[in-house]
Amino acid sequence: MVSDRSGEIYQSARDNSHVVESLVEIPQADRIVLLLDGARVAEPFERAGAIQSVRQTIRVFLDNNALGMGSAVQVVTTKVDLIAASSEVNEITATLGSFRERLSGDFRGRLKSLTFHDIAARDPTNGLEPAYGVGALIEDWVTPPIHVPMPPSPVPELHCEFDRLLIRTPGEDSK
Amino acid sequence: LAALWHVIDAGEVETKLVLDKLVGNHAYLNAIVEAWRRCEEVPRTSMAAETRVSIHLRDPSNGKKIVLGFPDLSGESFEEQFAGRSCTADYVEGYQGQGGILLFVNANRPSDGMTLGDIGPIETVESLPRAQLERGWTPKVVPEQVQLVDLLQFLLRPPFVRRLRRIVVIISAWDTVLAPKPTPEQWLAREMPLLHQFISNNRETFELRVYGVSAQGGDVTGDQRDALVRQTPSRRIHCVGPGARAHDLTAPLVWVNGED
Repeated sequence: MVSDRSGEIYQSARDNSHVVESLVEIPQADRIVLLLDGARVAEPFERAGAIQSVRQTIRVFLDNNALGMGSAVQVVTTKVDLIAASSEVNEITATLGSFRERLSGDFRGRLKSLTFHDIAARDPTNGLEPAYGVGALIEDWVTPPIHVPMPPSPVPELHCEFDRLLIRTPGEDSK
Repeated sequence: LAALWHVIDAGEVETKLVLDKLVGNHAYLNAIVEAWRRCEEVPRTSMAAETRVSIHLRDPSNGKKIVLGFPDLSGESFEEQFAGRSCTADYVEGYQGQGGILLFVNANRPSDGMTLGDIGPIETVESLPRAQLERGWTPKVVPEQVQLVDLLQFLLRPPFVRRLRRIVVIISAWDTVLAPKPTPEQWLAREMPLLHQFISNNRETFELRVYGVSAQGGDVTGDQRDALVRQTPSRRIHCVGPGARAHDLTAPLVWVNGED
């Protein structure tokens, strides 16, 4: 199931953290995908605002318990064809690199995972294949999380009849 | 305020204080920081838009948490206090706590405090037509530093509690001060001598530090804007004064909060 909300909702959550608790799908999601608009990144006057809005979204979700150690967050830069076609591609690449590095340094330790992806839905110049990068993302989304079974707890030395009750009582593992 | 919000939120440069958690209402800060990031002039606060801002900060060197709360009042509110001799109960309440004062003056504003001594060599009183000599009194004709001293004098008598307060005078638009640049305190003593002397000589009430701050890094209304917007936003900021790092606006906050 995919939940898609308008950007205005997330803007209102960044503006007022009390809105976060109404975003009930965030704590339950297997993956949280935040889009970084490549068109805005390619535009010098919009670049800082676009980048910062993604950082602030992660922070407001973390600080208000919508994200945590069980959350897998993916930051997806869209329309990367516009960035590749920009005359400032080297500067933008460096800016995005530092942004990702800071984001990882500041937040990765508070999340299950934080990964970065690039996509371009439709490059009019055909420089990038249609739906560039989308296939890998979808494949990741439909892959069930790997369940790692917990190792059985060691049985302590048993002395009395109450202790031995433990052996006779079926535990969670035997169900 | 917009530049401060960006620098502590973005983590682009090392700062003495960092954002501890993002809780509460930050709509006003987010609105003004958007303009700042685009290198536009930040909208001024109107009386209708006055708001109280709270930011949760942390000092990474000792883990100490600070809630920075301050009202962003419009210029009209202060003019009303100066001319009408009244202020709100909230304003008085704001001075009851332990915090200090941040007082902003702008280096890129025409001097409005010329004295007869200043203009004496240029014009003699006899050479001016009488109509130019006589003007009705309005608060607008009072020089800025006189108004600021008056606002500070309010704090010396009830209903305000008189106690020793740390006051940071922040000289904004520091990039417009011509080289060779004086220290911020030298600039204050030279350009606003009445204000500087008043604060310096009321030592039982005020403990003074002066900082020069360029929030935009240059003139965003002219040709510089294209170059400024391509810089890392936090690196556009310049802060000069005691204990300040080049791009860190939090040094004055650390001191005004009582830390040395």
